[in-house]
Amino acid sequence: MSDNKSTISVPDIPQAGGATAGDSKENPHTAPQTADSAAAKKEKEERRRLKEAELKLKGIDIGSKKPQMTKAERRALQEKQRAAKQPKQGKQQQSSGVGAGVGASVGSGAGVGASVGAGVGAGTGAGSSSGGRDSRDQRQEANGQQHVATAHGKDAKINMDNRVVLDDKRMHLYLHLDLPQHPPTSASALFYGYPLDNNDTAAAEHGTGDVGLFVAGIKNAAFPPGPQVVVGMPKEDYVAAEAKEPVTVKGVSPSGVPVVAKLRDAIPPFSSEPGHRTIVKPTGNLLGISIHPRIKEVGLRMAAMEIASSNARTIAALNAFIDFINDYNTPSDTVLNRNLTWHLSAQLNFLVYQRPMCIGMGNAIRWLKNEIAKTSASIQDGEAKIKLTSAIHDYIKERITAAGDVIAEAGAQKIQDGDVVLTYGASSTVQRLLIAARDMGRRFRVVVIDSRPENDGRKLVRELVEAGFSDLSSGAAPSDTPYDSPTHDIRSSGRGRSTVNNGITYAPITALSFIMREASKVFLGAEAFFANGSMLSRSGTAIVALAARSYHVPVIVSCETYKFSERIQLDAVVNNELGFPDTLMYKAGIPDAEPVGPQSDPALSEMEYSAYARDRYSAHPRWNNRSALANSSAIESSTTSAASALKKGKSARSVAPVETTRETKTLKHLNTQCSLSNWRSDRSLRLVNITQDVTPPEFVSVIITEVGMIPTTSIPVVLREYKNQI
Amino acid sequence: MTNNTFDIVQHYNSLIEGDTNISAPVAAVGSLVKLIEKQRATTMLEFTMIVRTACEKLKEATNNSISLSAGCDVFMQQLARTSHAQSVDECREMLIKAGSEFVQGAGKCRDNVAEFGSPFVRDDQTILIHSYSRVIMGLLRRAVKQNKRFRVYITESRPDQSGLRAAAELQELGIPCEVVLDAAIGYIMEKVDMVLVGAEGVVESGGLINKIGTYQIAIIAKTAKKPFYALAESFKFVRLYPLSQYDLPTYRSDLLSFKEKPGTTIDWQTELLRNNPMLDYTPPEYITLLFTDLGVMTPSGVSDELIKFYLD
Repeated sequence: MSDNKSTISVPDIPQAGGATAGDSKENPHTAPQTADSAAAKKEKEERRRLKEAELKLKGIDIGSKKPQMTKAERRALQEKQRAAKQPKQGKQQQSSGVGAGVGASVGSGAGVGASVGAGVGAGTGAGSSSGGRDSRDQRQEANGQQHVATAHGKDAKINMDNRVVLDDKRMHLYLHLDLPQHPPTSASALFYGYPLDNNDTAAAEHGTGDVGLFVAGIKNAAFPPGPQVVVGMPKEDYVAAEAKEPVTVKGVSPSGVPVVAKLRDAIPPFSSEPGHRTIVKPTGNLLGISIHPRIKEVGLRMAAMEIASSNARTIAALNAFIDFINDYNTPSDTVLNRNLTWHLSAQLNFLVYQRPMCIGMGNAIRWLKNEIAKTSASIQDGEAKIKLTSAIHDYIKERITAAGDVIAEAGAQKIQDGDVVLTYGASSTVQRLLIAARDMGRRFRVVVIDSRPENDGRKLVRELVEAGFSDLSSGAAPSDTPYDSPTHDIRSSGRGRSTVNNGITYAPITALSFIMREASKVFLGAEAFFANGSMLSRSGTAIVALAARSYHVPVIVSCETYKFSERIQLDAVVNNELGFPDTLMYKAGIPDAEPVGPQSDPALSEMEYSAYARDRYSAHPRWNNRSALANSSAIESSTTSAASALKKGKSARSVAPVETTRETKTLKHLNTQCSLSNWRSDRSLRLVNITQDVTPPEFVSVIITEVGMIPTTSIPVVLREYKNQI
Repeated sequence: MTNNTFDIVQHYNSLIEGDTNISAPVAAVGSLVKLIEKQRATTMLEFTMIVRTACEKLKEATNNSISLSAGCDVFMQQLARTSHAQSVDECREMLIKAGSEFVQGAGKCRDNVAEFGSPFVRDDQTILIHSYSRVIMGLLRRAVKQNKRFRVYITESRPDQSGLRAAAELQELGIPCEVVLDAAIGYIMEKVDMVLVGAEGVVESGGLINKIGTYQIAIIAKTAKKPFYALAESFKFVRLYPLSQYDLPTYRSDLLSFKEKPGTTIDWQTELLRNNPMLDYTPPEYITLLFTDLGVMTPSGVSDELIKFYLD
C-alpha cells in the first residue's frame, strides 16, 4: 500500500488513546478487556516516553532540522494505516493499532535515532525510548500533514464567493426566520473553527485530494455525495450511545484513489465530545517538509495564547514567514513560485493545527500565497526573497500598523468633551484610540465592561491607568459655573453628563443594562467583518452592541480592512472556536477569583507548557474529553518525574509510584479548589466556553477603518474596490 | 502669498448673489477655479497649500459650511488626482478644465435628479415637502410638465419661513398647495403619500444633513409608514460620518445650552432665533431612497459612491 493511498483516516492516535485510557477507568459501558487494558497501558507508557522527549525539546530550539521520512517511519505509518483499516473500528482495534504502530517504531528505533531533530538524540538512554520518541515525531509530522486539508479547505472556501457555511440543521432555522437561503454547499465543522469544504480544490491541486474531511455534526442530506470524503472518527462510545449505524459512502478522489467515507448522524451542539474534532489521516506527499523553527515558536506561542489577538497573531505569523522564506532554497528541479507555496502550506498547517486561523490572518496568508504565485519564475531565489520580504513588511505596515494609527486618530476625533465611552474587553485598537483622544486633550470617562472567563478588561484598565486616565485632577478642572461646564454639554443624545470628566469605571457584563444609560458612545474592537456587515468578535460583544442599540447609543467599531472577509457567517454557531472549558470553573467560595485553569493552577500549568500543541488546552479538544484531565495530569506528572529521574540517570520505570502520588495529589487539589472540577465524570454536565460571537450589522453604527468611516453596508464595497490592492 | 490680490470669499459671495440658482458647492468650485487661474505658484507644494488655505477660508467665512465643504472636497480630490502631472502649469490647466466642466455640468445634475425622481410622482398623490429646495422644485416642475396632477403640503419651515417661498412658486406652476405649521407634521402625515426633502449634504452613512425639521419629519414618516425620499445632486455627497445631531461640523455647544442670560427680562423672540440650530441630521434608517443624478439609490449606495470617488 502506498502512502498516499490510504482510504480511511487514521484516528488521531494520541487523542483516541487518551480517551481510551480514561474510559477504561471510568466508563462502565466499555469494561476493560485484557487486551484493551494492555494496549492502553502500552499507550500510556508510550506517552510517557514521548513526554520525556518533549521535555528535552523544550530547552532547545525545537526541531530545527526535521528529518525526511525514513524507512522506519514509513513502515510505522503503514502499520498505523493498516491498523486503522481493520473492518471493525472498535476501541480495541484502535488501541492495538496504536500498539502495532509503536511497536514498529520501537523495533527500528535504534536506526532512526540519528535522524531525529537536533539535540533530541543526544544523551538518550534506551533504544525503546528513542523509538517512542521517533514515532511521536512522526506523528507530529503526520498531524501537521493532516491539516493540509483543513487549510486548503479553508482557502478554497474563501476563494469561492460568499459561500455560506451551513449544515442542514441550521438551514431549517433560517427557513423559519425567512432569511435568504443558500445552498448547503459545504459541510461545516460546528466547532474548533474548522470550516470544511468537500470540494477541496486546493488540496486536489496539491495532490492531497484524497484527504478530505468529515465532521460529525452534519446530516447526510446536507452532505453532497462528493467523492473526496474521508472519515473522521467520532468517539466510539458516543456513537454506540446514539445507536446509529454510520452510512458508508464510496467514491473516488480527484487523484484517483478510492475513498470510503462514513457519515455519522448529527451530534447535538455544545457537546463536549471529542468526536467533534476533525480527525484526518496523513498522506505521504508533504511528509518530508520540515517545520521552520520560527514557525514552530510562533505556533506554540499562539496555542499558549501568548500571542492571542488577531493583529498580534497576523504580524507574528507574517514575520515568521519572512524568516522561513529567507531560509528557503528552491530545489534545482523546480521553481520558486510553485515549490515555495507548497512548503508554505506545510508551515501553515502547523500554525493552523496549533490554533485555527483568525480571519485577518487567513486574509494575510492568502495575500502572501498570491504574492508568491505572482513571483516570476525567471528571477533568482535571492531576488525573489528580497521582493517577498519587502512586500510582507509593507503589508504589515500598510494594512496593520499604519492602519491602526489612522484608525486611532480618526476614532479619537469622535470622542468629545464630556463623553462617557463604554468599551468591552480589551481591544488594542480601542486602547490606542482612547489614549489618542486623551492626548488630544479630550475630557471623557471610560467604562470598561468585562466578562468571564478571560477578564481581559482588567488589562485594558491597567493600561489606561498607566496612561493617566484615572488622574481625576488633570485636564478637567471642575467648573464653578455648572452651566458652562463641558460636562453639561448636551451633545451625544443628552447622555454623558457625568460629573467626573476623567476616570475609569470597571463593571462586569451583568451590570451592562444599568451602566449603558450613562454611556454616550460605545467603542468596540472586532476580529472580522463579514460581507453582509455582521461582525465577528469576542463573545459578549453582541450583547454589548444589543444593549447599546436598545439605549440608542452609537456603536463605533474600529477595524482594519484586512479583517474584512468575503464570507458570510449568519451566527456564532456555524463556526466558532471553543475555549478551554476548565477556565469556566472558579475556585469554590471565591466568586470572582482567578479561574482554575492552566494560568493559575500549578498542576494545570504544567500541562500548558507541553511542547506539543495537542497536549495543551487551547489547541486541542482532548481537554473537552471528560476523562482526559485526570488522565493527562497523570501523564504530565509522570513525565515530569520521569524527566527528573532521567536526569539522575535512573530508569524511567522506577518513577511509577511517584506518578500515582502526583496524580492523586493533583486531583485532590483540584477538587478542593473548585466545585466543578469533576465535571468530566458527570455525563449530563457540559461546560461550554465559546469564544466568539456574531453581531448583526444593524447594531453597528460605524466602522472606523484606515480607508475612512464606513457603514456596515459598505463592507462589500471595500472588498470590491480594494480587491486589486489586497 | 500670491493669492493676496484675490479674495476668494468675496468672489464666492458674488457668485451666490449673482445667481439664485447656483448651489454652494458649485459656487465653491467656481471660486477655486478662479483662484488658481489668478495665482502663480511655482511648486506643487505651494500650489496645494494655496488651494487648501483657500478652502479653509471659505469654510470659515460662510455659515453653511457643509455643502460648501463638499465642493471643496471634490476640488481637493481632483487636485490629488492631477498631482501626478508633469508640472504645476499642466496641473493647473487640468484643474481649470475639470473645475469648469463641473460648474457647467452642475445645472445638468439637477435635471438628472428630476428625470430619475419624477416617475415616483403619480397622479392624485399628496406630497409633503420641507422647506425650499431648488432640486425639489425642478422635480415637481418636470412632473407638472408630464401632466401629472398632485397636491403638495409645504412646511412653513421656521425660522426663515422658506416654505412660503416654495408655496408661491408652486402656486405659479398651478399645483394645489397648502402651507402647514412645522408643528402640524404629525397631524398631516396620515394624508400624505410621500415625503420629499432636499439636502445640504449627504453623508457617508447615507444619512442626510438638511434644514432643521427634516429629522422629525423623517421619524414621523417612518412611524406612519410613508416613503421618505431625499433629493440630492452627487456633488453634495460629503465625507462626514455624524453619529448624532451634535456630531456635525456646524455644531455649536452654545446653542440651547442653558446659558445664564444677562439682563432681567429676556426677549425670547430674538433669543429663539439666535439660540437655535439651522440644520439637523437624519440617520439613514429613516430614508427610503435618495434621488441623485447618478440614479435612485439606497442610503448604502451613497457610501458606495463616496468610497469609489475618494478611493483613487
